Amino acid sequence: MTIAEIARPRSTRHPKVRSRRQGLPWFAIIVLGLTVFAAAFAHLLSPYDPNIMSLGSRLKPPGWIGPDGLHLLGTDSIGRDLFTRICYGARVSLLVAGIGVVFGGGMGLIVGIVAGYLGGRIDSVLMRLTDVFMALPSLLIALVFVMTVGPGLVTTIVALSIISWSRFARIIRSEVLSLKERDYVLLARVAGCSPLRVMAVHILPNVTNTFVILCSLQVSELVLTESTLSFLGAGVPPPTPTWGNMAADGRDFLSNAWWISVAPGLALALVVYSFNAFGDWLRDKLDPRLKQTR
Amino acid sequence: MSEPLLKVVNLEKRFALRGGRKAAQPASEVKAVSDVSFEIGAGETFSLIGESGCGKSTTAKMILRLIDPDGGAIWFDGEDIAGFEGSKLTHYRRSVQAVFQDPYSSLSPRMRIGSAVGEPLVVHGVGSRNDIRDRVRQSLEQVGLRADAMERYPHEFSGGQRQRIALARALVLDPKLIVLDEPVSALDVSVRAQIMNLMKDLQQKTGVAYLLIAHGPDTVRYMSHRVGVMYLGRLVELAEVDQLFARPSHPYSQALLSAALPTHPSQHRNEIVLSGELPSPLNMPQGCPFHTRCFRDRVEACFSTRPELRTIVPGQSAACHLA
Amino acid sequence: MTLLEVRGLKTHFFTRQGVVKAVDGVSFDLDRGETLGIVGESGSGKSAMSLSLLRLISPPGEIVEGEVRFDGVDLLQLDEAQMQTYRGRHMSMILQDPLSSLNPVLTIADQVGEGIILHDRIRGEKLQRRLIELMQLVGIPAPETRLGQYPHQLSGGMRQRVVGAISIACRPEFLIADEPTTALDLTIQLQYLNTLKDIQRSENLALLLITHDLGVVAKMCDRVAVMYAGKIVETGTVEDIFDRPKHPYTVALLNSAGSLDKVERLNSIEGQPPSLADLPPNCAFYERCPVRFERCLTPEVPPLFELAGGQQARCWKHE
Repeated sequence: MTIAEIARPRSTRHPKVRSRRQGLPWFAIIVLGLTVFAAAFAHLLSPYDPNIMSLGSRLKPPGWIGPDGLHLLGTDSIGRDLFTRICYGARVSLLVAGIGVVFGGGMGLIVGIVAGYLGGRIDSVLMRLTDVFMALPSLLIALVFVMTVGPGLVTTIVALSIISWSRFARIIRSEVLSLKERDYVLLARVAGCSPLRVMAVHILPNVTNTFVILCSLQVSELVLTESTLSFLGAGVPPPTPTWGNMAADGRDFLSNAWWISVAPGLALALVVYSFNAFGDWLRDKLDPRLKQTR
Repeated sequence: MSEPLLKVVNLEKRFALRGGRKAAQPASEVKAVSDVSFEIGAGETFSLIGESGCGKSTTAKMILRLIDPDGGAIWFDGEDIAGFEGSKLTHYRRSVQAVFQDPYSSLSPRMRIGSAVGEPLVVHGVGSRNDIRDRVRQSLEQVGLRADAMERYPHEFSGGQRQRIALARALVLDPKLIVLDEPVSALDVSVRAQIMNLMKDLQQKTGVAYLLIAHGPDTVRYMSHRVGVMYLGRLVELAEVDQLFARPSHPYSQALLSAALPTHPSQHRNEIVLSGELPSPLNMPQGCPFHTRCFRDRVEACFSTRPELRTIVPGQSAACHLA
Repeated sequence: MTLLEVRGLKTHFFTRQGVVKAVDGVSFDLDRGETLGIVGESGSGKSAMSLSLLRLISPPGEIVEGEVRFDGVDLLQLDEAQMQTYRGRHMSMILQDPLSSLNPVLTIADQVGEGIILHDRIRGEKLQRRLIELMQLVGIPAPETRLGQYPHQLSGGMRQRVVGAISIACRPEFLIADEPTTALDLTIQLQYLNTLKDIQRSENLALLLITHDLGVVAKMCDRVAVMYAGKIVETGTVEDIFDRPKHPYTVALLNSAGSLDKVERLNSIEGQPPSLADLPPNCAFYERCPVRFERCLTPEVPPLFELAGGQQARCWKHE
């Protein structure tokens, strides 16, 4: 045995060049890729219409071959093809969650930077408002909002933005608080930059990493919330298929046609898991503390 | 003497402390800087020396208008900077620049060197795109960097090179005063000498004045014309650099200079080891602020009256009853 | 008597950017009661070297070669459990930052006592007496009160003294101090260095002092090793190094150090040290060297040449 072998720490299995970051989360990427693909090309992927009833093909199990062809994931209580509806549902889910994150995140980003950088009374007011939104259960806020305005696609998106901005604001603000004490921010002020310029040129680019990570983690939560809302009948109203209202449809048939609820539920679980895994990976990759270059 | 470039008069800064762990304790105030007055002439290097918490950096920040003083005034080119707003303030910002200690946090990691150095020009709307490029190039060459640095990002540069970039940025507007807050203390010995030489050369070439904040006497000795020694937020001695290093009058200055490490193993300096710790600024000593650690034979007045700065010999003044 | 013998120590870091040869064949001896200064700039490998002696290098770093003989035992041959009995008990370390070296939620007594309880297994009255003795040794006034306090209640200088007390709590024979005063103010630094010297004398410690400050070396050390780019480029007694430096890098370091005397111009060395991941095949100082000649271009690292009085220099001039 050479000295080098002994001197090596006990776990000698790892290769010499040990990457500190995990490899790409391939499973998550594939799931998300397929989901996006299915959402974008739902109308090409399946010969069936997601909303046309076919009473002859009610409650058929996965793999049932009907007169009109194969029903991969079976059919629901009024004979609609579940696979088709899941693909169309992905469209709604991703669209709603995506736009919700963009609006909510953008709003939170602005609030966070302004509150953190300007401080003082503006900060207090904005942060108290954030506290209120953080303190109330997000689902409750969304439900109350939807009940007041009335359900619909746009309402759902607005509801999701409302519940997601406060978390962005809180985290971005704390990051800005440390950034604004950096020397380069002080030097920018010495050079005569206006507060607006400091925020846009010196602060914003340095919080983008955090923002991107937050977005990817928040999307999964919004997908879940949207489904919950739909499940409760307060989301996107039927007949537009969403994973939430599809799962709700299956409630009464759990004993004899479990697949109606399980198929969209499984899709939801996979997508939420994948967004989380992807977000975690992104955080490891972008977090400056793990970077070696100083 | 002609009108100085910068004149600081009875400057004062208090920081409010939130009540401590005892919630009932009322918010108290700490005087970070009190009664500080000095002048800097055009093309001159004035240094503030002292240990951490002595108020030297706070003084620098007030001059840079990063924080506002609670008392006293700062006059620049004959005008009180406290009242500067709008175009006056813009003009002041063009005339006074800064270089800070940590070369790793002085540059935004997401900004190319060219944009960072050129930013003051952009902000002040000086010249066209091409003019700006030219001046940035000139400025970088002035500090010994090649023009191709413009396209690169800060992480590609070492500490010494980043400090050069910081200097280039400070110089790009042709300021009259640059505040140097510990500009070399984060650098390695061999690089430190490069940067100090560079700063001296630049002063000779451009006639810029420096306010140097430092804790190391050797840096101050090498760089400055006049020096102010600070202790617990006050100036305890003000002198020409040669006078201070030849005959420090205030006991704290004496102790500080004697604490400098030897430059040769056989050199045995008469070390003055100060007893005790820096008093907490919350609990400032009565009388002379230094009397708790003073090694001289203290007199009655040391415990009762705070000594004012008074002239010891022309060009040198100290705040000590015994000097 | 030689306590520590280091031979051909190599510590490399296997990073994505390539193999960083932080320590590349370092050899030296250290006697009991002796202070050896390791001088170098950031990136010279001096800290990686000191961590290697305690085997505290973690991946992607690895000690790839060499011997570290402590009292005749090669530490690199021990298993981790055996090594742990050496750390703290026989060899100890003071790090640069006194704040991050102390655990904020434990009292001073807990932290100073931890090693004593672990290695000496004493408790109660006896432990208390030992703690107070230690606190007095490192010059902390009112030790009884201080022991019950938490790190945040102490000033920077006091904290660094506590760190010192922890490091000598188990009466080690060998102490590494890695830039122990860089975070301290000048007057506090003086106090601290004097205390360190007193402790070293009274405990007959072998002290390895890692620093970039030649003033600290001049004040504290018996012998000096100058490191550049992962290698020792010159060793000798402190007088030899200051009076008769033989390597151009040592000369340059001495010339660029500041002083309290009037100096018109500092002689600075231009350029930067080479990257440890991309060392040239010839002398690593070649690019910055003011006295280089043809020999220095040969793609071969100069060996340490033996000179008069045990002084050694890694420069072709002395071939």
